[in-house]
Amino acid sequence: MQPSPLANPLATVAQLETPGSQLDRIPPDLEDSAHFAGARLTQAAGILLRLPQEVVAQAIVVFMRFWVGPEGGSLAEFGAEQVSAASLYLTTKLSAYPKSARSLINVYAYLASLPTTCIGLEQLKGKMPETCYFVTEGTYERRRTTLFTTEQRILRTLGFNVHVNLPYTLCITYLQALDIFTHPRAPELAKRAIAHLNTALLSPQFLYLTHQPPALATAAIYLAAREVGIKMPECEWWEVFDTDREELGFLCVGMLSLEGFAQGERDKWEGKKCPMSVEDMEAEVKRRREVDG
Amino acid sequence: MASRWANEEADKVEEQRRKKDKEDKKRLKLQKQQEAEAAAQAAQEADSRPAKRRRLSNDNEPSTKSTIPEAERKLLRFEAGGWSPCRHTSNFETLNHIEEGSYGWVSRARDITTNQVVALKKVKMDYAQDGFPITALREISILQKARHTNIVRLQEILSGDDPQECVLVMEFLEHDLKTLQEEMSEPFLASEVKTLLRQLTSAMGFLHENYIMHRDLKTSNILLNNRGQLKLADFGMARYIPSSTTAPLTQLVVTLWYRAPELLLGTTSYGTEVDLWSLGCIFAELLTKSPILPGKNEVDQLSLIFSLCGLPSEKTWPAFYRLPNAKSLKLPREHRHANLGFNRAKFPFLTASGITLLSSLLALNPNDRPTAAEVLEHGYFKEQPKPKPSEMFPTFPSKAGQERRRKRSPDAPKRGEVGAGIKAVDFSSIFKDREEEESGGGGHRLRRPFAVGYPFCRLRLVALVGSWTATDRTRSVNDCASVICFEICYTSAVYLYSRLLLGPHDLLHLCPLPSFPCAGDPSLGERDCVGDLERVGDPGVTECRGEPECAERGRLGDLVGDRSRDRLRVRDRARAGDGVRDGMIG
Repeated sequence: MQPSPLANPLATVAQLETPGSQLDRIPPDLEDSAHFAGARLTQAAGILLRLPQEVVAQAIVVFMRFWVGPEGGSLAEFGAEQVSAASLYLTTKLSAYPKSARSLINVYAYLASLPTTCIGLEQLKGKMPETCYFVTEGTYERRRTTLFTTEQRILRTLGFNVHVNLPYTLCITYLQALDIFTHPRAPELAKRAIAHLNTALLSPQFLYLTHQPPALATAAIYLAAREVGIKMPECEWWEVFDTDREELGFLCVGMLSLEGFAQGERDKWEGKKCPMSVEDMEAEVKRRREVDG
Repeated sequence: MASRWANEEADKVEEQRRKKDKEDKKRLKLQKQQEAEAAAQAAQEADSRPAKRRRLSNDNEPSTKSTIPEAERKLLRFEAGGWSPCRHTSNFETLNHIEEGSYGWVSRARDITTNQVVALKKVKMDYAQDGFPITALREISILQKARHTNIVRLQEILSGDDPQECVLVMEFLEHDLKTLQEEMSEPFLASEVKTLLRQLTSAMGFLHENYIMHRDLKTSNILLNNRGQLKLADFGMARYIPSSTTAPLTQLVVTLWYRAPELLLGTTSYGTEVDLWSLGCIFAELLTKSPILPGKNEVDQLSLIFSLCGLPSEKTWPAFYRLPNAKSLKLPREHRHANLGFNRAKFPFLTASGITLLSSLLALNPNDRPTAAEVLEHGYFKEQPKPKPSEMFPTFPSKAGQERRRKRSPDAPKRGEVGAGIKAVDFSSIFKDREEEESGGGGHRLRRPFAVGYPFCRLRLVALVGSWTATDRTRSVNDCASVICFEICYTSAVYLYSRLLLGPHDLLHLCPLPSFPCAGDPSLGERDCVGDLERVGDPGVTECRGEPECAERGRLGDLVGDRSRDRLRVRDRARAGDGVRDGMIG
């Protein structure tokens, strides 16, 4: 009958074993970097387009789904930036906040003009000279065609499975069920939990593609409660939310490890740009080969 | 001799010993069994005890908790499958084309590997504007989520050689209600209408519960298979109900004939009520076999609506005058028409509760329309005749199964299309027809073929009485009345009999009056005579149904169905007589 509104289609083991990029000999660390940078780019574009986080989160999950599996997209064929733009465009189209191709292209042009991959919130607010991100009509036409073909390709690769159920509202519901909101520091906990859910979107382990929303929400609450120092029930409360101990442990480790990963990425691309297009990726792979000899 | 005795004794002893052995064995076996049972019971108790204790103790003794073995707790697992790229269209073999709409091409096809017959819907790609068409995207995402017995099932999506090609694979159903009704010689029976309406309403209730509006309900979007199952299709206009009321919605939805008055009047905030209006139109169409409000344009549509449902007033629809297009309308003076509500005379064969249901669905004020759940609970479905079980539904020759031309009917408005708009319009004269209709009882606006016979009878009668009074004035008034009575009985009997024999069309030809087929009604003019006989042995029937045994059953069902239909028809007509009275008085 009707699919559960709590469940998402998950990636299979075979899909996780062989991503499309590795078949094209893209180094795994470079692949992770490109996924991470692409997801952050989607997030930044979503903020600039004034989209609600749920739309951005859906776009990031669609972006991540695209790369998974031997039949998925490869970084040798699609740039992370173009897929990010197309997945955001596709998601907004289905949401209550459709954005025109023009505003999307403008926003991505602006983001591309920023000097580094590690964009902070301050840089998004900062004013850049307009000449840096001006899009001529010819460029616009070209990019729009790319946007549409990439969108089409995403749909075909995912078999039109573009719907994403998110854990955000579940998380709040769970907190209410745990009767947390009587606690004076409960808002802090809720904010931390949501922050963990947002962070998990960027995970190189594809946490949103391997775990269902209830488990993600539970793990985020568990971590947030420990960080904020609010005592949870002594029993295995996570089982009430259909998460077993093993899954909870795995997700907690996965979510916590992201901080180190993000720091590593920042160090790696400080002042540089992660290759976000097919040409840049090719050049980077070539450069590495030369360095290695 | 002695030996024989001895032998006997020995036998006896031997027998006793054997008996004893047997009993011993039996006892032993029983004992073992009991022991085993006891052990099992003990084991079961041991199993269940810790679970019970754990639940009661509420975990305030962590030391004991760890010692007691944990029982497996059942956690819900959510399965939603995975994803894989679209298959190629070459996995399917096209059998024949069914239809071409504004939205895409539909054809019947066969899965080469499984031999399953499906309907393929090829999406028209208009890439110039916004990439992948939003209507197709919405339809796909809504169909993926809406799994219901009365909603057509989307199996998968195919891609073709051209990267822009996109084909939806859906289950194949033999008919759509529009084509089916055009081919049928007479409307569905009351019991069949109820079954169809109930299935349709349950699909709609499911959609509305899941915050989906269909926004393009019409008979050509409603499919029916040969097992009496109705399925809703074409979600190209559907969308989720927006969470905030601030986002304006386009009023250019729903095919004109099924469009609710508030949409015609240009509202930008509406809800599921627009679907219920369409449901009302479909209900009426099922009863009369032809579209009930076939407007030529938006203005004509509004005037048809007002002439059927009465005029809105400050009391019945307070929000009416605040709607964008309402100001430009000049309505007839209120005091003359204020009491004119729903025009019941249009549905002479519908029972009183059917009329209340229909008039509530076709309520001008959207707030007065019932919800889908309320419709399902309505008394109309509980009274006689009861809804016919779908297994008992008659089968029909499938037109979708063969290649065939379809008649044009208006489509839902296209995205971005600007409506003709409603300028200053005078509706003063819309009730002229209705007054005539009600006072004179003239049937020229009634689309039912049934209605044709009555004025015919009456004309004969008038002519008869006229000639009589001219020739023989000496006859008493009483005599005259009795003759008239006889004439009425005779002509109606002849009419009914001839209808049973010939069907309505033949009668039309016999009929001397030229104005009977309504000019605006294509279904009466162009239609070829499809007798019941055509149903049996039509190649379409056997061809379209996959399994041969199914086809056999269908054929048998046809015969039985037709015979019982004839009987029912007579019965329904007898009941319909009551309906007339109900309709006129109530």
